[in-house]
Amino acid sequence: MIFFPLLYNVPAMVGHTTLHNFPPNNWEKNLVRPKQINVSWTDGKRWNTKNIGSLDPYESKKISYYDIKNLLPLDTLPLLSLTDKAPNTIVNSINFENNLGTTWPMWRATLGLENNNSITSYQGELIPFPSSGSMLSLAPFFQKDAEISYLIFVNIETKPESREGLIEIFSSKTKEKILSKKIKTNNISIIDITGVSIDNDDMLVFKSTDLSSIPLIFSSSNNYTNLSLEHTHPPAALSILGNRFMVQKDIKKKWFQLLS
Amino acid sequence: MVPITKLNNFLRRAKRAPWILGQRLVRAPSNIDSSVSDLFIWISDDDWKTFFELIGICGLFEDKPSNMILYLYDKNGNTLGIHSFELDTHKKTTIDISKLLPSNSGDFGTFSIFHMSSPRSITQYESFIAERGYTGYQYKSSTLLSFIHGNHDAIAYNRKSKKTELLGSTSLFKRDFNLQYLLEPEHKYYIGIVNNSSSHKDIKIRVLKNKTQSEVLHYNEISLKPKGVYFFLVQLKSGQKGRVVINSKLIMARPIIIRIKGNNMDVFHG
Repeated sequence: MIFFPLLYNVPAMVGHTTLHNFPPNNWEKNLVRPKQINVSWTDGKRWNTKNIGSLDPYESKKISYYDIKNLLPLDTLPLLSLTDKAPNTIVNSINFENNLGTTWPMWRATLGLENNNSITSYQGELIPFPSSGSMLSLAPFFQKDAEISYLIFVNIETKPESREGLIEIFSSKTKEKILSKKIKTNNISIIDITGVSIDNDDMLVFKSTDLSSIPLIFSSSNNYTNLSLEHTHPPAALSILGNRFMVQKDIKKKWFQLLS
Repeated sequence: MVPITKLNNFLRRAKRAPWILGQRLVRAPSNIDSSVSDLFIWISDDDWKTFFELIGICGLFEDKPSNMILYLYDKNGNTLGIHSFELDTHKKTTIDISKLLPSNSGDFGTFSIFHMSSPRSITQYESFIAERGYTGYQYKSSTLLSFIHGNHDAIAYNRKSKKTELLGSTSLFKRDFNLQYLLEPEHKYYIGIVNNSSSHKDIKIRVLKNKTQSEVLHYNEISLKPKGVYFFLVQLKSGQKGRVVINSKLIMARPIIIRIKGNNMDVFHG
């Protein structure tokens, strides 16, 4: 299944995900049929899935974290999905195949955070990372003068067991470590970086040799009227065509040495 | 007997073929000594400013200063100016695009950034250095920028001939891009579409009522020049909710969406 995470635990913000029952293209209309909405989570031993409703053809529906909060244990990442049939309730592993079929572009949902009348969102989906993964990513768009700033790391792996991994954050210019924190797999981790000060020509670099993750930066004004949410790229995005994953391997090797 | 699953897979592939065969999302640059960039969108008027966070990509690999050139285009793809930048190793700079625009540039247009050298780590794998960086938009008096990353590998710069070439392909048939996003009535939406192909493109936009296939709430059509950009303004009436369908011969008419409610502005890719 393709999963659509529901962001949670971001202070003062409510996560929401809007699911859509139509493909992004016009040649896979056969995929449009009534769908079941499910929420999955891991209890640390097994993946659990619960049916929470349905979606008509060509319908979009917004699910708030408050809609499903009481169905899950505390501090658990909710993963929404769309299926033709209601799934089994408890499984040891999850089938992460692309059940929605489309690839160019991928079937996406709208993932966002809101506070009263202010909303920020992005279009996304979540595919599990290999447990042998690592991470290197640059964030040139960190807004050091923002009154509120959080790093949001999102990770899921196929195995239901949660494990810890170290995330380190460096200055690209000085290579000095700004902070480090252990985060858990199969969850969202929030790191408060409000007040972290770097030079105008400097960037944050995120490094982990323990796990892969999607890093997001959330910024806000004190009164939450101005919001910003954006994810960083993996280094493979620095080039196109050819063997981009060897390019990524090279730059990871170099920067892991620079930051060791 | 052919197993039913094999037959289904064959039928599915056959159905997709007219939309995929020979219609690559992005063509490879014609010269190996090329640099690739998105066609980013700038917006500049009394309410808007545009910034770009520029990284020296080459310097990330080879510990030496990086040189880049920035091409500015108006909304019809005409060149407005070319600017050069040099960046020290492992540093970034914030470009205030609005300050680089000549007078009478209009309110919006596109821009590209080309890196003037490629590290061996990229060329040895027959890959091309690509600028997909972050554009920040400032709306009214907001103290924060709203960022989006580059989305299309739209245009290449041949370092030998010093010429650019558009990399977007043209679809055999007109196709729909169904934006998987729900438009709501309290917001004003600007839906920006860029033509990354080398020919004019007719673009039709429909906003269909939620849960329906054909109930049209809004319709507009334009012709878009190469490297050009257009913003469709959509504002639904009270009680209406809808989805956007973009019909064109662009392979991937994925728009950027700007959502405004009062002073709250959000920008994201479709």
